Amino acid sequence: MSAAKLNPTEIKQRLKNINDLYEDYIQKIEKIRNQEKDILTKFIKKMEEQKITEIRKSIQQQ
Amino acid sequence: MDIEKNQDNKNEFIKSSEINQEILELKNKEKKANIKKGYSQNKELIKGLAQKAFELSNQKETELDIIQKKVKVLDKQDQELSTETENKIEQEIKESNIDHLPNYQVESEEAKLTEIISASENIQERFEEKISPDMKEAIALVCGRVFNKGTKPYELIGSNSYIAHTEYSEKISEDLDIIFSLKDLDMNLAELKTMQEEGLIKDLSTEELRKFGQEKNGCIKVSCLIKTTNGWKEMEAFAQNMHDEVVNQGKDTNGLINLGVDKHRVEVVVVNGVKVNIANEKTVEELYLKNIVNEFALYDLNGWEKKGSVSAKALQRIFNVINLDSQRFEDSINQIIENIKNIDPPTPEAEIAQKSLRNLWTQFKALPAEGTGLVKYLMTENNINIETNDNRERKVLSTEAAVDIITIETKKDMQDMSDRYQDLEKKCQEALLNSPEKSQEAIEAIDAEIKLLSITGLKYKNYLNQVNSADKNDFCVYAAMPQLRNHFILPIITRLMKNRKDLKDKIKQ
Repeated sequence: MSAAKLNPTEIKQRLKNINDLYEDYIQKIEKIRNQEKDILTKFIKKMEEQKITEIRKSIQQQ
Repeated sequence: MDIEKNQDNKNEFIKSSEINQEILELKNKEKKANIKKGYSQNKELIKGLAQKAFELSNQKETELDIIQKKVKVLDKQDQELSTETENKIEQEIKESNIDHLPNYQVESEEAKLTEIISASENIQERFEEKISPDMKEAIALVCGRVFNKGTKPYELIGSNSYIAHTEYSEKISEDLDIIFSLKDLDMNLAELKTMQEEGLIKDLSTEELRKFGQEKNGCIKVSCLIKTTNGWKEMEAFAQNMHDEVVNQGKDTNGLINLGVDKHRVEVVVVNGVKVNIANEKTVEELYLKNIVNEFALYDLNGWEKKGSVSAKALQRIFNVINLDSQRFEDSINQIIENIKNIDPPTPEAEIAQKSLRNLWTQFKALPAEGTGLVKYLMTENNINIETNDNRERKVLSTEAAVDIITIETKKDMQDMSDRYQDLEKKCQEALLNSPEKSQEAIEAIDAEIKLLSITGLKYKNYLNQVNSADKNDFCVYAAMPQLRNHFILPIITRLMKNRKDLKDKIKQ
């Protein structure tokens, strides 16, 4: 038997499948990437606040 | 995101023009490029943030180390999900280049509803690596001799398909489950009988299944043992209604998965040189979700009729669903609860299962989010050590092992409790009709049983105390316990106490 080419209905379905897969991926990947960003930005913010506190303290001591 | 918008606009334009294979390939390339680009952009962004964090950290090396580890884990998840999606998108451009089997009726409605594609290399490799040589031998033999000669679609379901769709699992498939068309039953049975005469299979039998254990539903279960080099493998094949029976003849669907009735995609793997149809990931998920529903709704051990309880099998099913490739292990319980609602057709059983699962999930989340965690506790108690440096793999394999432990334990305890109760109940009823001495004996037996039940209860109380609700892996193991206490231990004690009172009254008379 020879290879069966996809017909237009099947192609439409496959296009929909690709879109669905991609949409699902975007939703899941955003969660992961937001977590990555959150971890680092929270740490940076904390460090920056600590620095500001240190600077304030040193100014007050002067 | 602008790039994506432009591409989407381009796609909209394409949609309005002629539909052909090239468009599919273009779309495939675009989406895969988006995934790659998105990953690189994110990597650059994270690199920038990490650099800034490093510069600011000064002496805080330990804290930075922890953060780097967390980011590394998330980056791995990102990579895995991206690769997995690229592979799935790639699958969508493959032509249906399957050499159809000799008797397969390509133009039948059943065939039109069943898309048959080659399994991805990944799935093929997993099948090759994870399915035992004996099982592969049995699969190749029975599919080559019987099911590949069918006129309608068929596929392997159950653990053989599940294992191929999970990255981490040490499960060993013990039996072989197949669904096929009722139209092929006579022909397949005739071939199986010939094989039995040749000594290649034994214990061939058939049985018509019943809907929820009641009226017969027309699905014929064909059972036998298939000969392999090292022994025998059990096969259960289910001959079901397909499009002609359901749509033209108005019969009910009579399987959990209805191949040839709804649209399904079947993947073909090559097993010892024989092409074999296996269920794809979506079907596996659907099957396990429906199994969960059944396990919840039909649970009835020795007539206890505790619908809504979690049976040992239900635990395995829950774990199997959340361990499938596209599930993010940590946030998948919510998805299961949602997906049960979407099972088609909606049934009262699905409602019971959803309610039970949702209640358990709510109770679980209210438990303390601290401590060892039940999975880890069970690993230590049973001296199980998962040797891997991959956190996710360790997590999944530990949970799988813990689910196995608790499944065996709860199943045995429930069976023992139930059996002992039935014996004791009989003894009490007999004693009530006999001498006071017999009543005294029965009271002593009740007291001994209550002590035993208390010991069992304490064991599970200890397990519950180990649960750490911050570790979602604990849920699968936890789910077995609340109802075991409420639906088994407490009702048995209540009934025994009533019997005890009746026996005391009998002695006083």
